[in-house]
Amino acid sequence: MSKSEKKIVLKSLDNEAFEVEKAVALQSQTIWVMCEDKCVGNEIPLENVTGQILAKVIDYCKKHAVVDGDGDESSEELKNWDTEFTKNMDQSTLFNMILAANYLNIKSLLNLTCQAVADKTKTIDEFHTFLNIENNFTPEEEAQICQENLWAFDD
Amino acid sequence: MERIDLPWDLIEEILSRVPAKSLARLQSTSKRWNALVKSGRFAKKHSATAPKEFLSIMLIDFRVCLVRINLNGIHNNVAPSVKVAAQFDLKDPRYSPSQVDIGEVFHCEGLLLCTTRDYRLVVWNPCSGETKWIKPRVSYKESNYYALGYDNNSFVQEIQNIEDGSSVLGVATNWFLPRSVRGISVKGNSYWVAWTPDAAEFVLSFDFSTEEFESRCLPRPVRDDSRCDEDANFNVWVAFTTGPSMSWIKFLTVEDESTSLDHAFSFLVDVQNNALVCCHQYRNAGNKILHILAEDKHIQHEVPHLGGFRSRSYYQFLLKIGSNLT
Repeated sequence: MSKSEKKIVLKSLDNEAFEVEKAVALQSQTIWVMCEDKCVGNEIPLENVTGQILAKVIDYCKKHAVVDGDGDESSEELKNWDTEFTKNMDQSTLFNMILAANYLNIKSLLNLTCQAVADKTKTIDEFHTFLNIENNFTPEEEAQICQENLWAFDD
Repeated sequence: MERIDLPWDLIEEILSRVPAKSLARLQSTSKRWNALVKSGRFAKKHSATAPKEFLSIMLIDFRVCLVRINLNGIHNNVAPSVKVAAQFDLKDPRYSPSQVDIGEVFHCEGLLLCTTRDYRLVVWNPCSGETKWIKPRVSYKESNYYALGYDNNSFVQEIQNIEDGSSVLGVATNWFLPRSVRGISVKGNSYWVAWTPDAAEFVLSFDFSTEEFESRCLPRPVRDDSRCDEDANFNVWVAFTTGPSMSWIKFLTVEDESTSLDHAFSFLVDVQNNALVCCHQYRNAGNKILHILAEDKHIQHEVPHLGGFRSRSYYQFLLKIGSNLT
């Protein structure tokens, strides 16, 4: 395989181009299927992902790729890296990462980002605002369900 | 901040990673979420992906209660605190009153197998309130032992009913279980401290996937539970199982020769504080005591009792359960 065949260009929604190792990009099932189909050349347009988010996705894939024997990081190290990776992301970045991981079909990244949102969201109000859900119970209904789940309200 | 609305399937992904307690709080705040949490499909997903929280529960006066036990500072003479935080209601809507009195409890992966005071059997998830009433293979007897486990294929698979000396499985056995012994469940299999006919104690395990009993050795001659041993001091051993093997580590030595827990039958290990909490089977229904053991301490703490004119039970159990919505 020549050097150029091992590389692939990913193009974001806002026309930013990223040249990456194929092994890095193929962690995305979506890209893998596109490459298999041979319906695209060396450049893959990703219409749902902005350059800013794609750069982060590529960072993640690079870290998690096993390329030429470089991928032998211990799982402990990887876990710490993952924690640091999502630690300072704000809510909208995390949501965009979830959407990108879902679109690109990268299971481990979807797990990581969904868990990060689950961990960062603490209060009921935060859940409602972040996930855009309205409370549509009447106070009586709400009290009834709270009664059934008393154990969860003990502190 | 940019407002992003996630599609419902991704919201489900996030919610399936929220701990059971937070989820139970969220249930009362949205009809859609409430319906989601109650659906079997989501419950399965949640139990597979959400981080496990551990709750300490105790059977007090026929009711399962959530207890908060705080042993922080026990080594610096800070008094331990034990509080009943909430009560879980086991309900059977077919009966009135619907609240059911619980006789004994066996725990496995967040589910409780309970015998009730009116001689019935139920598998119950106290966090979700879900129940499954079970008919014993042969008629229910108070002297029977019941255990809950699972095999590789499906979760709650088997309810075993083991009688002294012989089992419903038809296996000839040459052991028996003393009345004061309670079984525990680890990774789907059940364990008891059983006796041979000449009163030698050993660990009896039951593998739910092969439906076979096996015997395992204790680290030394043992007094009572699978985890307790006695020589001049009182030693607590903790067993680890990895696959077919079992290894023992001495967890705690209590330097108090008077410490004897002959009838202790449920234990809670506090690894952080290097302490053990256990309770007895009581011969009378008077005040009950929790025993808290640490290196140089044996504290007896009265069990907080539930208010009202409720009758008081002889049994109490102390368990740490993983909360779960399945």
